[in-house]
Amino acid sequence: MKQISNMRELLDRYWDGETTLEEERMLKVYFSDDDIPEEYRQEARWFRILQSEQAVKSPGARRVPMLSARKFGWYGMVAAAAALLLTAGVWWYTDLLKFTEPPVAARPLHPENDEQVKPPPSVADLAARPEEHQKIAKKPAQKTQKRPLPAVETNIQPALAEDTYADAEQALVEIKAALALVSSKINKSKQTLEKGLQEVDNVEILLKRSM
Amino acid sequence: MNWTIFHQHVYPIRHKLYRFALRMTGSVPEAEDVVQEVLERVWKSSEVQSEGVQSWEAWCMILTRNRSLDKLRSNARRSAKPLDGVAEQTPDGADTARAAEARDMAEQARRFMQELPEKQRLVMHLRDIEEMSYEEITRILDIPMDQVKVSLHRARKAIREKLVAADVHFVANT
Repeated sequence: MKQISNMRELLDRYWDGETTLEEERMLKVYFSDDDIPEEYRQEARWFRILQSEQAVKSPGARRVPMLSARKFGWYGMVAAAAALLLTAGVWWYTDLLKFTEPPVAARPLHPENDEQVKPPPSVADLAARPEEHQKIAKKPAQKTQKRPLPAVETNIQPALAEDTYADAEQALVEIKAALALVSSKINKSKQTLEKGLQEVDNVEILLKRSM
Repeated sequence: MNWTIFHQHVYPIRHKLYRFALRMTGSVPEAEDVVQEVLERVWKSSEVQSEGVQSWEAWCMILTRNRSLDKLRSNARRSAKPLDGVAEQTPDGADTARAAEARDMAEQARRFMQELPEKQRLVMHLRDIEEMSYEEITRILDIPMDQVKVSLHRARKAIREKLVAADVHFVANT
């Protein structure tokens, strides 16, 4: 056992709170021995208590949520991104199909009713025929709202039929190429993510073994 | 939070955090909860937060102190409760008279420590059990250094008196 000169003086300084960390460590080492003089009985008891307190360990992680939370976070982000892309793709595709369908006005809406639907009068027409202008202006607004709109009126939007591509087939090919690119990117990200998660799992296994 | 940093600097000090939480809350389940919550909090901290950390140990100990205080406030517990469930963890497990005596003395000394005022108890814990410098204790407990020194002096003096009294009582009864 390593002897410490002026032990009593050192212990007095310890109890007064005047020792350094180094001196306190030295005392702990000294009193970890079983063969301690009787005069230091109380101190020996105290330092053994400190030793046993230092040995107290956490019962161990009951769960490791920080790993699974992060894992599910990544999965969630990838799933959300994929869902968003899929939704955007579907929306884009269906929207394109809608505009590439033949114009509604070109098809007979009501075959049994052969009435020709007149296009709305232009401003020039109304200027040339002021009586018709007044007639339209006098129509009560409420009545106009109640009247069901004929389906053919959708044909009034010629601008909507115009898009980036004039040819629907070409647009479809372009969409497929874009989606294939996005898909390849997602697959690549997924592979990287899986590799990273595998690494985390390995570390988790090591940690569980070490506890 | 970077996994490497967590693995190297934070996870290894979990026992230290547990002992500190146990000293503060006086309850094993609550100390476990505190440690778990602190580890989660650190793990979920952003990169920006992590970059500003100078001492992971000090930061974790501060989080442990704050979380323990939250627990104490929410449960309205008295801090000087005996440590439940700790006595069974003493290393002396042999069923001998000496081991039993050691267990009794250890339990008694723990009780002495728990009976100290909160500040003295925490300063003594950080210094005598976790072997921290005055500067670290100052930072963790957020009190001036002179208060740290005074608290340690008073805590040790009180413990010494209690040990002497208990020893006299023990010798008188044998």
